[in-house]
Amino acid sequence: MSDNDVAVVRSKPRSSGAPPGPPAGAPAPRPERARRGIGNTIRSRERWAALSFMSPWLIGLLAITVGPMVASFYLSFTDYSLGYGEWVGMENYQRMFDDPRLAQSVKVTAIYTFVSVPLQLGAALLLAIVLDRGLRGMSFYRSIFYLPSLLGASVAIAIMWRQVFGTEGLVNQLLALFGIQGEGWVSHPDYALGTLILLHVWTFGSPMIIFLAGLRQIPTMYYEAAKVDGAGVMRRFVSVTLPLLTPIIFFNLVLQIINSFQSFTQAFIVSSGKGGPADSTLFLTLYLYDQGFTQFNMGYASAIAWLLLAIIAIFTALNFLMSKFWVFYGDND
Amino acid sequence: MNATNPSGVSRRTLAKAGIFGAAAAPLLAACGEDGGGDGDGELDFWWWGSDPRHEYTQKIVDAFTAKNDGITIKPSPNEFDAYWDALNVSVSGNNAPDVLQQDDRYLRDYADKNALLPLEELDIDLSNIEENTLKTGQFDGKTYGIATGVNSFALLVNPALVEAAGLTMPDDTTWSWADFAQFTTDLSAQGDAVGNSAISFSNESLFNVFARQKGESLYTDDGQLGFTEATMNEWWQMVVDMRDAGAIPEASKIVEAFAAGQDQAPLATATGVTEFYWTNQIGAIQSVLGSDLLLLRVPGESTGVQPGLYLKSAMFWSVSRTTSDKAAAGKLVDFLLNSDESLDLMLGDRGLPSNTAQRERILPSLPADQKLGADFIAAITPELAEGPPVPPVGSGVAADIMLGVFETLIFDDTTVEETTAAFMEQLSAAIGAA
Repeated sequence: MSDNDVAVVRSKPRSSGAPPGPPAGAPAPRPERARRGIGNTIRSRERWAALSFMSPWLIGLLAITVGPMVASFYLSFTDYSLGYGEWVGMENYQRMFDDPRLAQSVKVTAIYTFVSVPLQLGAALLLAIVLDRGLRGMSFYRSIFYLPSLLGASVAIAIMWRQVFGTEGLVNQLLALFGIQGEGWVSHPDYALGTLILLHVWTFGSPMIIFLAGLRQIPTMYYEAAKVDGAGVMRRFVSVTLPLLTPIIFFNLVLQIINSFQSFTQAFIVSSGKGGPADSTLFLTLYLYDQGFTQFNMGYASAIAWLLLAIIAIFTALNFLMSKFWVFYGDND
Repeated sequence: MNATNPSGVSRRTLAKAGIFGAAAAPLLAACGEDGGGDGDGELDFWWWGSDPRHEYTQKIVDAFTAKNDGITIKPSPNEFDAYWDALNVSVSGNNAPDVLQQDDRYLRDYADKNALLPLEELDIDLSNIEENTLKTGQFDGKTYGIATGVNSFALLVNPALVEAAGLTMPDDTTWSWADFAQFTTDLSAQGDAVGNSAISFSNESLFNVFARQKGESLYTDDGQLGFTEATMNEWWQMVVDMRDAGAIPEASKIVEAFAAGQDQAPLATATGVTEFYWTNQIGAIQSVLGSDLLLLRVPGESTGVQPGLYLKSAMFWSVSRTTSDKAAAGKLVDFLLNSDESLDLMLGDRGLPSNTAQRERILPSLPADQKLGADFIAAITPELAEGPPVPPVGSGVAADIMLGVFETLIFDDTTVEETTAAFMEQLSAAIGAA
């Protein structure tokens, strides 16, 4: 199927491009074609080998990612609902401008991302630096600190958090020891998003591991040279560690921003899938789910999915543009 | 697709045959008998519920297949929320289950999207089902769902906790909403448990009862909003007053109680004295609580223009338009509704059976908790006014909208009037009302 499509696409420019081509150029193609013929057999054999090795990934990509993406792009221009839908043009996209819940969900998602990502990366970097000192039993600590990353997005942990941060949960019992009357940390609209941010910050393990790897790559001679020049701990961190770590920070930043925009599980579990209380944890993904699966507006939900993609694309592009000004790759001097 | 049809009779031919309705139906049923007929004899059968329901429903399915050679059934039990996600996906993807459980919040959505088969096309015996009950699954002159049974809202009260607070049971035949607010305030003040857990004030069905007592209703027959702002303001004001008086918990705890689910709800854990539930939920709550509950009429039944309570169809049996075997699907629904084998197992779990002959027959064998509900329904039935209209398309989201505005109210983010306005605006948009 896909091979045919490729052939069709290719043949088009060739046939349309041929007539205006100058006749003088006619003799030239012959030797070229002959050469290509030999190359083709080898190359096509290699191509088949490559394709067959790639196929587990490729089939998955086409069937599970590209296919549904194309479908959802089409659906975003329809009022598709329960198996029926008609073309409505830009209606779903126009509707976004007049949807207070969508505005709320963009706001919630933005706050979540721009508060939790810096905090999370900060915590990850701090822990990475501490662990980099080569403490005894470091691999143990590393595993312990990595654990939340493995668990953080799981349903069980989200349910546990709902208990721990409940009005009569562990956190408030601890606070009560100090005579502080705690709130319903996940059930009060003023605090619920903050609690989810905390949960996200807590899963600093994977950026931490990446930071650790980055720290290991900084040659010790730089530190030695800095020490000889009389640089203190802070100075060494600011002038040696940070600049050399910027590519890693950049990498983590891009990944974590994308991840945060796509967050779903924690808010879904903590708010029973409704983005509550009072829409205070209504992530864009939750609202998308609500529109598609609760309100049967699959077309609109598809449009929201593309809005999410656009937002993520814009921020990723911005990240790459700005990276020129602050990311230092050792090889570009 | 026709290749898999051994009979060689095309679907279109059968669809035409279906137009003859009742006359053709026995013919189709006969086709089903010889193992082929119009369909493949394979039915996907979906329902939602709890474990006990899954177990006895499986037994009903076994009894059905034992009696009907050539029909195989693939059952898919699910939990309520997950059920609707899965159903939405399967219908959207064109592989809807053949026979399925429906709810009145969504019945009209699915029928409107052409996903359900008008059941007149099937051979289902409806002679023992009352006209009023059948109506709840009909619109535009066609039946898209047949009620499994009926239930009613009731105020469930934990009598032990009332006694512990040193109070006596109110007279539910005369009490008003003000009496209810006073009663729950006293319960909170004099006992250890909270008077009412406030889980139901965001339930659009309970508000519908309140509106009906004033001669209004949540929706009108032609799919518009049927209540006034004043009525809903009164409702929210009552919530605010009860919160300030301590009759209901503080806002955060209400949200938590709501999220905790039925098994962990204050009434079930004896930390709340009263809560509104549907009569078919009594058993599940009593079994968690471990002691008996009392059923009271919703307040205001005798103090308004008319009683607001009504018999709700607990759930419906529906058949997908795309079913691969209409005759077999019809047989299964008929079996579920009318057979002794089915009702002996189902009893009152899917509401007090809509088949009145079966209802009479199983009444003596009901377990104690279902007997409570059955007696309650029997007591209120003579008092009831005409039932509310079938909710309009898009009304499935009413519960979520009401919960959303309720939360902004109890946290004082919005005033009573703003809450009403937000609810009416959002619900109007959802149901496409003018």
